[in-house]
Amino acid sequence: MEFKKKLKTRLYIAIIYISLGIMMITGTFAIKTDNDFISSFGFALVVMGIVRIRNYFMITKNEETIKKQQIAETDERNLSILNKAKSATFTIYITLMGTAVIILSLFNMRDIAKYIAYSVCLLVVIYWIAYWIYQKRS
Amino acid sequence: MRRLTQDDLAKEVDVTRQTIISLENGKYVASLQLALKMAKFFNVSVEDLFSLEEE
Repeated sequence: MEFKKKLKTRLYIAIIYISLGIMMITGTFAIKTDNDFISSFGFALVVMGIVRIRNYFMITKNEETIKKQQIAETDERNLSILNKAKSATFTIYITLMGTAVIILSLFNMRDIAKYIAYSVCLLVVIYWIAYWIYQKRS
Repeated sequence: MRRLTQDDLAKEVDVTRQTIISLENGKYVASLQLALKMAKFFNVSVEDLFSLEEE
């Protein structure tokens, strides 16, 4: 029951994606701007929304497919793999960006280095906040 | 008597078949909740199903 609610929420989010995407695309044409980024982003949102809606109908075909999807999403091994992948991504990202900051600074590209450094700092701050919250909860 | 398949067991304890395969191969260590569910399903104790690995 709870999982069906979750699926419904995903459907609504997909509809929001499509609406936002359409607004971005039509907005770009309406104000006659050459901003490709906004229309491309809008197009990506529409595609993402359509894929999500398609997935929703594939999953909710019958009770068996819902159960199968629920198991796939709550399976502890899958969750463990997901967490390991996230952890590895975080470490690799921090290491790569840290290295990039040093290299860019050496080549006097301080502006880009500064923004990368800010993004790394933000990520670390978010990590510590999340760590603190989970520590309090358990 | 029908033999229990990995798929049957997976459905009974709400995990994927791949998790059962990984457990059998010793590639994945079950959580306490899963260990208890499996023990309940087989009507045995957790120690009958799982044991600590000697260092």
